[in-house]
Amino acid sequence: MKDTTHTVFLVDDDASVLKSLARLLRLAGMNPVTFSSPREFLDTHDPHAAGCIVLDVAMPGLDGLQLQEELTRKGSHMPIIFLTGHGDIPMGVRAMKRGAIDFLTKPVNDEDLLKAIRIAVEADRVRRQSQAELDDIRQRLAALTPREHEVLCQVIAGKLNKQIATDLGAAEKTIKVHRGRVMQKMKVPSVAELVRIAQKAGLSKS
Amino acid sequence: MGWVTVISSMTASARVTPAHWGIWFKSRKAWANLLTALKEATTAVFTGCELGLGVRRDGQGNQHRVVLSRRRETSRGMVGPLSRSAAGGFLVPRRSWVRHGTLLLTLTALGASGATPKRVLILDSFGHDVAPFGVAVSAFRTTLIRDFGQPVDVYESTLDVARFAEQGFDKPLADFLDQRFADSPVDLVVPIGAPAARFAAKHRNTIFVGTPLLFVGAEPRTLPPDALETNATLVTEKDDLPGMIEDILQIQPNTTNIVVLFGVSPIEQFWAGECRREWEAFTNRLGFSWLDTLSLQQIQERVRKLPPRSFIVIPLLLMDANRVPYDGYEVLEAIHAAANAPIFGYFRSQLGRGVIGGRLYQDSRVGTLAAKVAIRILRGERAADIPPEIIGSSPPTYDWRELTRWGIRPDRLPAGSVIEFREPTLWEQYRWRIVGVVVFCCLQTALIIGLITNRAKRRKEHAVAALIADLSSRFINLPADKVDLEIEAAQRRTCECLGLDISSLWQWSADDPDDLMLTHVCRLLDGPPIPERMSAREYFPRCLQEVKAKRFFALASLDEAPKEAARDVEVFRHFGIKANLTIPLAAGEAPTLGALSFNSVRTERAWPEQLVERLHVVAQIFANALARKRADQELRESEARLSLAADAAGVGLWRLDVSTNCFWVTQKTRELFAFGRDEVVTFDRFLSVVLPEDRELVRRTVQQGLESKGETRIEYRILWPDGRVRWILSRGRVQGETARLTGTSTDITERKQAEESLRASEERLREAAEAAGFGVYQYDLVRDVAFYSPEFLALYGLPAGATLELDPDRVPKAVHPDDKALFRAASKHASDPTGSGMFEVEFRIDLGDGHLRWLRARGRTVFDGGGPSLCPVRANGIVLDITARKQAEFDSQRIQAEITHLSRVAAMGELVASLAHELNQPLTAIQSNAQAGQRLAASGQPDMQEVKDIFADIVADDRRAAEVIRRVRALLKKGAIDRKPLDLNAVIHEVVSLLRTDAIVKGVSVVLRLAPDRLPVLGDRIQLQQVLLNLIGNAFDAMRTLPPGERELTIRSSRSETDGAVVAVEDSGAGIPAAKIARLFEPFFTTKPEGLGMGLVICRSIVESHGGRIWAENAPGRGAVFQVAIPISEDAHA
Repeated sequence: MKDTTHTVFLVDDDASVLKSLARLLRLAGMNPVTFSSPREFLDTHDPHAAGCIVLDVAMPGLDGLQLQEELTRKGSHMPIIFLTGHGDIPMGVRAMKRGAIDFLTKPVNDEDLLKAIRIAVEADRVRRQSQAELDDIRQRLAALTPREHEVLCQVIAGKLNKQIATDLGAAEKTIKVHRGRVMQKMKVPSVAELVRIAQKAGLSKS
Repeated sequence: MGWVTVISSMTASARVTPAHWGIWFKSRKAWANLLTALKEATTAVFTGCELGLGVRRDGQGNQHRVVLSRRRETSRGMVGPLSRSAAGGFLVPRRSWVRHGTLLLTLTALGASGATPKRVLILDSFGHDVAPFGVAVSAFRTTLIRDFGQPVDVYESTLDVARFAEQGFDKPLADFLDQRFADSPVDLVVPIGAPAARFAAKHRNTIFVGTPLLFVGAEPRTLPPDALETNATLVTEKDDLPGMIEDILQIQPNTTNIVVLFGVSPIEQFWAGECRREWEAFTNRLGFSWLDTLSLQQIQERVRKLPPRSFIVIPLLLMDANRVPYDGYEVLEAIHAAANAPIFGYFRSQLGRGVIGGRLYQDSRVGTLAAKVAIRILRGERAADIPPEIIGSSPPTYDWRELTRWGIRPDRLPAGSVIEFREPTLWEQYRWRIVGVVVFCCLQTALIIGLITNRAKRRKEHAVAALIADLSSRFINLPADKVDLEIEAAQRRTCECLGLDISSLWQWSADDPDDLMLTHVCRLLDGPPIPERMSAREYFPRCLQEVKAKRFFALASLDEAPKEAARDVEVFRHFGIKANLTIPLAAGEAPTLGALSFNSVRTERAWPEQLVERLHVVAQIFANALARKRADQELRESEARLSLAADAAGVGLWRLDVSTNCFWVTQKTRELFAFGRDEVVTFDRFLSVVLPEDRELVRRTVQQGLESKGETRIEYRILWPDGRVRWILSRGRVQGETARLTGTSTDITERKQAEESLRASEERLREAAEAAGFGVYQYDLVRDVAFYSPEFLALYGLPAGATLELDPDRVPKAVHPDDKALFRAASKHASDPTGSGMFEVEFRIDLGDGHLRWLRARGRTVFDGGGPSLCPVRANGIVLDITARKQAEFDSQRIQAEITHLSRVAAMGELVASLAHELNQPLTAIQSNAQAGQRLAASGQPDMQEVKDIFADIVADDRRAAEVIRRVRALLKKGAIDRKPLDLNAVIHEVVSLLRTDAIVKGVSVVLRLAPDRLPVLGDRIQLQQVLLNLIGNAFDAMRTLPPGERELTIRSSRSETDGAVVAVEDSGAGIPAAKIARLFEPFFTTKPEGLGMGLVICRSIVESHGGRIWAENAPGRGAVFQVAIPISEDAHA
């Protein structure tokens, strides 16, 4: 049962730890890729790749938390599992706050690690799906003319055509045409659906 | 045919016809004379002859010739008598004698047939001897015989009218002549003078019938009117009686009185009458005195006292008033002797006998002309056909002597006058002598001029030589400061002496050693101004070139100048210079100093070798002077410099001149000895300031100094006037002449005092050392001599006077083997010329009985020389027993070790988390590998290679974990200090590996900048690690408050020449407050809230126990730097 669609990115400065973990994951049917330093990982990382990151917290140069920040800045939301030599609680809290899936203590039990990886991969999959939908909506929104965009905003605010025409200084009939075109471009069957995706895309009712 | 021919070469010959032998002589005596003469002549002829007598027959045999030949014989002996007899009126020609050679005498045999000689009868008026008529007779006869060419028989008969005219002898004479010439008539009768003429004319019809008559010297007036009518002619001179007076007036216009002298004979009276008549015209102007009534004696008396402006005229005086006849010139001579006035004569023959001259009757000329007429008649011409010849009066002729005597100037004489007896002028008389004298004088003058010229030349030469001698003596001892002036004066003198106009002297320029500058110039004449700075390169490039080549440049004329000298010539022309000589200035073979140039402005001028040589000598004199001046200047400057330097150094210079026994001293010397400013310092004066007890030494030393060639040195004391005693060091050396000692003096009082006090202090020190139990040692490293004090030897357990045994590396044998390396290191450090020279070591010695003694040695090495040649010469120091101190130290060290350990443990505690992580890593790997192995095993088809790898990795990680544990244990271990050779870099690496995780956890990036090579030190690994752990831990703490990215720790190691191995731990924190830096290493001082204040104290004690040091400072940018220096130990091999 090989899962090759997701990659586990292993980052640890200790060669033997890296080697043993990679070996464990491989034997557990996963697809591990190893990096001996955060910098090496960052230089080659593809934000759109699917999978998760297993990261040693204490590394010279860029530590795990810094790496996490760097990835966020790059727009990567890949889930991260932290490994730490000693249960440094404050650090674990900080990591979890920033979206880490788990915070495991070395030496790590294989089941704990694999479970955490699976959760992380699933979370990654869901996140990626949602992201794809959002991208679609944004695309559709981008297709609207500015007038249509104005009309859309009025519509999702729950205004009637008449009100919209008055506000925008146009004929009600014209608004109706715009509204129809918005519905068409946004590929929505109903206003309720339009409101939903608009909200998803971050357009508020206001 | 009996011809006898006597052949001789002769200039004249005469044929004597037999008729000659029949000449009538007045007396028997004449005959006798003739005979005698002939006899003598014959004898002379024949005795003087070399007779070659022979008969020659001609071809027909009818001619015999006897040849009498005679060789070169003067026949004067024969002719003499003939001449004498001729004086008696004989006819033998005066010139018929033989001069040289052979007499050729052709004698016609007596009786031989021949032409009859012509016969001429001279009728003389006054007698042959009566002057002046005899002159005409002689001239006539001589000319006739000479010119006629045929034998002529000349008779002479005199009327002697002066004496006998009035006594009627006319008739008897005529009868006598008639009888005489009855048988042999004469061919020509020649009456001479008027009386004879009248006689002949009167008797021509009786005795001279048909015979031609030739009247000679008879004034036509005195002749009978018909005298010339029949067969007669006349030769005479025209009288000019008035001319006489005119001439007198001409030559003496103021003449008032004329005395006329005539005799009383008829002819004289006739002429007196003529004169009276003709001179009548002059009587109104002149008084005439006719003295014909006076005797000669009376006349003499008279003429003796003539009034002034008188003239005497003597036409003829044959008989005076007393009737005394006078034949010759005695009358004239007598009157001339007596007269006080000039005498005017009448006859030419009177000239020279006392008359002044005048239009004189030319008696001799008349005779000669008459002879020529006679010859014509004898040759057959008719006398009547020959016209009378009356010659005009001759040009007036004067006797120069008389003119002179009477003071008559020759320019008064009538035009055309002839002056005779002009006493030859000196020139005429002594022409050749004069010429000779003049030539001689000329030669003499020339010689004198030559001599004068030569003398002038020599004088000039002398002057030049004297000038050169003077210049050379002047310059020889000339003070240098006077050289310039003297050169200019010498230039002037040289120019004046040699006629030169400009002299210039050039010397090498100070700015440009290749150029000459004009330094001295002397101009005797004015000219264009000379530029202030005159450079030879600019003005005389050619001359400069020549001077550089050490050649002379001589220019006699600007036209001769070579093309290269165009610029020079241009400048010469500007200054009007026509000739130039430039001589390189060089003293002997020395390099040239410049050039000396001489110029001529007035004329062009050749430069003969001698002149050039002279000027060259002058140039050499200048060159020597300039060279000496330069040397003098340099000497002065160097003396001044020396003096200045000596003054500055407080050294007085002096020179003792033994000949004067005086010192030359500098001002400094005067100050040293307290001599007066201008005081003359004699040797005795000098001795007087020397302390009495040192005087003998000083005197002896000076004496030795003068005798030896080397340097003499003496230290002695002098007494200053204020009573202070000063120490003086004098050094002297004989320089040059032996009579001079030159040297320096220095005040060494301070040094002496210092030496004294040093000696005292040394003494005290030694006493103190003894008292303190110090062992004192002194090594003379140059001579390898050691001095040990008895205390020193006692410390080594040796008796006094013993020798300390040393190893080959100079470490005492007694030093404990474990301490020998230390001892060596300290010794090496002390002898390093670049170091401080301090020797300090603590070591143990084995006293041999199982006891160890701790000694501490402390000393200093003294170096000498300079720079790279600096080398140790001496090592002094002390040794003291520190066994007791060491014991105490040992005890305290033990306590300190405890503290150190505790501190270490505490530090380790801080590291626990980090160490756990260090252990966690291998454990993690082991666990992961093990679980991977489990999964592999569970899979049922294990990859055995994978399994092997898993096991190998597990084993490796396990070892790794064990190593961590070992290190931690080592640090925690409480053990004895163990010093071993180490590499400090390795120690750093170990510590950093221990702290790696801690650094990561604390967000600190660690940078290592280590020395590339090993840093060998001798030390305790754990202790050194502890120091580094401590410093790094402090650094981590210092950066705790920084943002994670800024926490940077840098560890450097390096090798320093002065400090050995240095480790620097630098953080990027806030640094240490300046006030606290100094106290960092004090016990219980801490900057950390939870700090004990012991960490750095322990660090310092560890580092110092390793012979190193530790210090802290703030880094230039931020943070603090802690540095640890440990001595390098090359012997240490980790």
